[in-house]
Amino acid sequence: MLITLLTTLFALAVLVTVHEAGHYIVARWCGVKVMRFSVGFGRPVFRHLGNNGTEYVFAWIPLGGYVKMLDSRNDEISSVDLCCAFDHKSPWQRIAIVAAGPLVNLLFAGLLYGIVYLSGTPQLIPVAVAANNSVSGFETPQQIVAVDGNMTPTWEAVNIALTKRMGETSSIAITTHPLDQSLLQAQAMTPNPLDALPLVGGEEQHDFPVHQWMSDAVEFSPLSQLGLKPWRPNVPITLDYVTPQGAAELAGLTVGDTIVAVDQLPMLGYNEFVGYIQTHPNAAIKVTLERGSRVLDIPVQLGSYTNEKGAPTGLIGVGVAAISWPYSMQFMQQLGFLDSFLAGGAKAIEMARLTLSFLGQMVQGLVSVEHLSGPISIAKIAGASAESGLITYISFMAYLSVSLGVLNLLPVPMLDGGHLLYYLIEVVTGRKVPDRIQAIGLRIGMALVFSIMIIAVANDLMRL
Amino acid sequence: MLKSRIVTALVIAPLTLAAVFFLPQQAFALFVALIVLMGAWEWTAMMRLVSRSQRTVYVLLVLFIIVVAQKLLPYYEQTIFAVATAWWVLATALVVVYPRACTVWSVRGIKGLIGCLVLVPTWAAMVYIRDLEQGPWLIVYMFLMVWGADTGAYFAGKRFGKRKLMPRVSPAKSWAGIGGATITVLLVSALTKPYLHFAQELSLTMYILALVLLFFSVIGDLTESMVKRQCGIKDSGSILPGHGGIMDRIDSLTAAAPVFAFCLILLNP
Repeated sequence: MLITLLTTLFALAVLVTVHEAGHYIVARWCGVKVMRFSVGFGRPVFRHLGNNGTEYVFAWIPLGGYVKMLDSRNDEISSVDLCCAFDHKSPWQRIAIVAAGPLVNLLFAGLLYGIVYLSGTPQLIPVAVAANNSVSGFETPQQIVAVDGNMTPTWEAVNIALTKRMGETSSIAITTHPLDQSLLQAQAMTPNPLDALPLVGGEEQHDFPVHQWMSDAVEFSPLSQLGLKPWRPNVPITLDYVTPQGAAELAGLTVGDTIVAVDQLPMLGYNEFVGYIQTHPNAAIKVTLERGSRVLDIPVQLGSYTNEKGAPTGLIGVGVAAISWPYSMQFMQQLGFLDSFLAGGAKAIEMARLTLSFLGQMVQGLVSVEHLSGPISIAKIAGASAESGLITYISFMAYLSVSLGVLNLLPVPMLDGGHLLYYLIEVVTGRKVPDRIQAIGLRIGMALVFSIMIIAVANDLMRL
Repeated sequence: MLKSRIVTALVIAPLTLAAVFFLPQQAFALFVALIVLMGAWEWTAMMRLVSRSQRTVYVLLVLFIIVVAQKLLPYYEQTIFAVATAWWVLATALVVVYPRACTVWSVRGIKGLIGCLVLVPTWAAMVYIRDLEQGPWLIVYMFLMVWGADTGAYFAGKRFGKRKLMPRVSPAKSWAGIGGATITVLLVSALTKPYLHFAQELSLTMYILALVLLFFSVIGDLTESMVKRQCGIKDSGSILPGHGGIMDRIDSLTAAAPVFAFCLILLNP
């Protein structure tokens, strides 16, 4: 809870500072007098008066910030200062000042993504199987080589390529290379860094017809929409841990036993076994296991607990050793210094484009507004990403920075993009947009922003 | 003033409790709708609507939305109360920054919309909560929380109130009042907990719930004060001697009820 709060506040404070610094620096370049640079809203906690006349402030509500520039519409100013007022600058200069904030956010995101790439990212070669034997050609694992002709060395590349087609009605072409399932499983059981992917035969082409692709998906998982899932090695059910006083211990199961069947049903892997146990709360079952060279049938009286959805769930009280992915599926994506930051920049632009097309599709009604997330979801993700490591957290911050930049560029009065719109109109018509129209625009814009905020917070609450 | 206030309370409290316990569900829905519609009539004054016909049109609009909400309630209860809760979160922000952002919501159309967000979920929440297991008692619990908070705040504020909570929005509220209200709601929760079924498996959560309800009941109160202040009205009406109008009496409830309904859904999925 505390970590969630702190990491969220830190991310917001950094991103807001960067955003406002963008406005600030360009305003100074254009010769505008900046009266105050504030990180956070409300009562100042810390203030420092710079010798350029700017007051630097840290305020106690860290959910935003602002740069207050000299403006003859709000401030009483002498004619000497008039040339330093924001509203007396040319439209192009004002455009530069206003656009700088969001653009710096995008730049900053590129930098952060660059750091992520530089640190090297452990990746898995994407290998998929049919989720429930419904997809022909995917009964055995297949390496996903390309989607729509775009090479897909990583899962991320697969997801991006699939998401690109969101909302379309046509077909998605997936190029695959079949793999030998039993060899892959064997590689997972006895890890050897020298293993190579057990490719079989040549590449295949699979076409998936799609209808309004992913428009009604609430869970963001393009792969499952195709009826596929990532292939996982089967974990053998050799007991590594037995809970004291648990159902298994009371029945006499011990560490080292290998379970082969339950109630005469052969159990191939740990996932299958857990699924069976969980769906049989408080049941009396018969476990067939191998202990040394003997095969034993042991009756077990299962326990139960209530899962997060409130349903009773079976419990046996054993654990198995985790097994890792085969070495042949793992690789480290390592980029050079320049390449990292180029890829980081490209990634930031790609994310910005995805965000925009996502918003576009939402406006067209192709994507549900249930996808909108508010502050609670952001905080949850911030906390979770911080817990899973610095690099994950940095990449989440980059994503947030992109969102902040893109959303602020939308042509909605009240946001930076709204001002840009007014100034562009001024450039075209040669006259300032009348105050009256600006005021009406502001009301519409704020009403729009407020309703979107209500939807976003309501979505957050629904996900609690 | 205090005397007529107490007398009025002694009349309406038993009437309300009788309605909560003895009316059939449909009649109760109608009863709450009537109160909410009277609130809507008072709300039109805050929208600065003067002509009787315009005010009637707004009340009919609210009635229409209530009818639609009645059809949707069984299927979308979580959504309805999530949206209402989200609105009250936004209202918190509006109260905090007042009088900034005023230019936006002081437009008549927006105020009308806000009126719907304030009133309709209140109706939905009352009807929804009463239909739950132990429904009438849940409503009594909510009343005790809201009225207890009011009373605690009143006396603590009178006795110790020095530092104002939000002088720009409501000059009558003090931090001491909040303290008194906090003690009252925690006390009420502790005393009622053994009798409420939904609270049996809760421990600390019960008290967090009490604080959440207190928070939103204060926000409901402040929001109404803010809207009244913005258009220069003191009492929303004069129907209740010593209490002002209906809105003045149910303002805390308008926020607390939908949030309570949402919390109940979260606690018992």
